[in-house]
Amino acid sequence: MVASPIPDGGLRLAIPRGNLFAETLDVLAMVGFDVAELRKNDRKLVFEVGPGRTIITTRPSDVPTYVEYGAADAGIVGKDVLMECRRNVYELLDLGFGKCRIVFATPADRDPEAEELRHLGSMRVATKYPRITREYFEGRGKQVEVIELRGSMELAPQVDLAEGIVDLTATGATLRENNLVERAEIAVCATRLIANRVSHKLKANLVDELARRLKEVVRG
Amino acid sequence: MKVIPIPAGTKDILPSEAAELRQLEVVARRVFGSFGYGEVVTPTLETGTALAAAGERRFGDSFRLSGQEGEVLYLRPEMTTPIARLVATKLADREPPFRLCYFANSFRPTKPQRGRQSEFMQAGVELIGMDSPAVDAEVLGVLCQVLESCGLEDFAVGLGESSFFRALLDSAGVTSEERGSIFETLVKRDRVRLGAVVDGLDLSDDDKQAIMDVTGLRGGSEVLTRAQDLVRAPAMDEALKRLARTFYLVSRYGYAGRILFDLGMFRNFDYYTGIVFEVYSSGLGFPIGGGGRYDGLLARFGRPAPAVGFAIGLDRLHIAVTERGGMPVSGRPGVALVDGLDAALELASRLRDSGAAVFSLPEGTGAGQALDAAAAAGLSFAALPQEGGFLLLDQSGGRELVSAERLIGALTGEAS
Repeated sequence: MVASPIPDGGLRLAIPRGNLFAETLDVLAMVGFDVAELRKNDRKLVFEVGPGRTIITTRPSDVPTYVEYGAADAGIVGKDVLMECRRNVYELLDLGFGKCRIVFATPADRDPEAEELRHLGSMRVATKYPRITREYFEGRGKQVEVIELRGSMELAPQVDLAEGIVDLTATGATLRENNLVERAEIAVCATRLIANRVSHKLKANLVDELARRLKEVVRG
Repeated sequence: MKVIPIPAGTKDILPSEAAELRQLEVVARRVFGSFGYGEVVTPTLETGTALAAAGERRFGDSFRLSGQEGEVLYLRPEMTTPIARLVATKLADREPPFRLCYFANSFRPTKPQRGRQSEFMQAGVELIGMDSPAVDAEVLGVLCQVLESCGLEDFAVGLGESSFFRALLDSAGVTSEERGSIFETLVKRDRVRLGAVVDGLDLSDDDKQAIMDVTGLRGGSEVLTRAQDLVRAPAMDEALKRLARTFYLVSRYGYAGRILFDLGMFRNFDYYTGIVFEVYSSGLGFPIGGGGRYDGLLARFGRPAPAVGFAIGLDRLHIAVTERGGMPVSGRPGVALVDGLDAALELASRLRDSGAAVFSLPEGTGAGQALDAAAAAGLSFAALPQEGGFLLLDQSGGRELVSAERLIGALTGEAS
C-alpha cells in the first residue's frame, strides 16, 4: 500500500446549534466522541473532543458553508438546509433523526386556487425557503411571489401578507393553531452527514470510518 | 474615496500578487516547454458555432455579448474547446500528435456562493492524437512536475478511470434512462439519493452493491486490488489494467506517491472517456485543477482524434502555494533613486543595464519617503544624491555615503 501523499491531520466536524443540537450530541456520543463539554458550554465554539477530533458549532444554515470551503471536513445538518443552500458538498448518510416535512399550507377557510385567480394568476407565499418554494411552484407551472421571512411564517396569511406559506412542520400543531391546512407536501427531511469534496478524498479513511460508525448507530 | 465597483466574481490584482502569479506561469511554461508543448493563444471571444459543436452543456451559461452584426459572441468558459477548434481548422493539414499548452483567462458567471471567480487564470496542456496509458502518464507527469516546481509540497492527484464504472453499468444492463438518474445523483454528490435510486433499479443485489462500492472506492494502491474483486466483465478488467499500467508509468516519472486512486470520480462523464483526475492540496477545500481523456470532442469538430489534457487554476494554485510558507522570493535587486528622472538619469540607465531595477523619484524627495517608495515597489534600497556621492539606505536602517561606482557595485553584487 502506498502511503497517502498527505498526512490526514485529524477530522474537523461542524454541527448545528439549535433544535438538532441535543440529538446530534447523543449520536456522536454513541460513536465515541467525548461531548460532555459541548453539553455544558454554550458559549464556546470550538471543542477538542479526542485525539485528532475537533467539533465546531455554528448556526445550522452555516454548516454547509464551513464544509464547502473545507473549514470543516464533515458536517451534520438538516436536509432542508442542504436543499435551500445548494452547497457543493458530499451527502454521505441519512441519519434518520430530526425528521420533519416541508409543506405548503393555506388558511383552512380559503381556497388557494381561487386566491390565485383573484391575484391575476399569481399568489404570494411566505417562507424562509425561497429557493425550495420557487422551484416547487415553477415545477408545477404556477406563478408565485415569494416573500422571504425569517420566522413565524404562520402570521403572514393572518395579516394578509401572503395567501400561503411554505414551512417546516413536525407534528402539524402549529399549523392547526393558526388555522392553516396543509395543501401539499414538498419534501421530507432528516439530518444528513456531509463531507467536503477534498476531505472526502484526502481523508477517505477518517470520513468513511465516521460514516460507517454513524450508520451502525442510526440503523442499529 | 469614491466607490467604483468591479463586476461580481472579478478582482484587481496588485503588483506583489501579480508578480507571484506570473512567476507560477514562468515555472509552468518552462516545464511545459521541456516536454515539447507549444503555447497557443486563442481569441477571448468565440462564436456560437464553435461552442454549439462542443455541446450546450459546456457553454449554456457562458457570458455573452453581441457583435457588430448582432451575432451572439461568447466569452470562453474554458480553453479545451477553443483548442479543439484550432486543431480541427488551423492545424488541419498537419499530422498529429500535437502537444499544445496555454495560459489564459476564462470566464464563467459566478454561481452565487460557490467560492469561484467569474474570471479565472488557467494554465493547461492538451495532448492530441495519441491514446495509450503511456500518453496519459506523460500528462500526469507534466502536471506533477509543474506543481512540485511551483513549490507546492502537499498535493495529491486523485486518479480515476471513467470507463470502469461505465463498463459496470453496461454489464449490469442499466438502461440509458436509469444511467441519467444515477449520474444526476453523482453530479450532486448525493450518495443518500444514489442509494435510493440504485435500490429502486431492477438489478441483482450484487450489482447494486457493486455500483455503491465503485462510486465510493478511493485511496492508495489497495484500491486496485479491491476493484479487481468487483470486475464482472472483460471491459472492466481492461479499464483496470489500463489504470494500473498508467500508474506504473507515472511511478517511473517519480510521482507514484502523489497518486490517490478514486474510481468514484465523476467529472463531466458525458465528456471524459478514459482517465479523469483532480489535484488536491490540504489547505484548500476545492480542487486546484483537473483533467482527463476526452476522445469524443475532436470528432464534433470534424477531425476525430483521441485527446488528453488538464487545466490548473492559477489563482487556486497561488493560494495553495502561499498558504504554506509562501513563494520563493525571486525579486531582482533594485533601488528607489531620488532625482533618477533628471540629474541621476545616466546613473539610472547604467544601473538598469547592469540588471538592477530603478524606481526613479523626483528631485528633493526625502529619505523616509524614498524608503517607503522602495518598499512599496518591492525594492531593498533607496539612494539620494549628496555632496560627494549618494546616500544609500536599506530597509533595515543601514545608511552609507557611497560613490556612484560603489552604488552600482552594491546593487549588482560586484566589488567596486
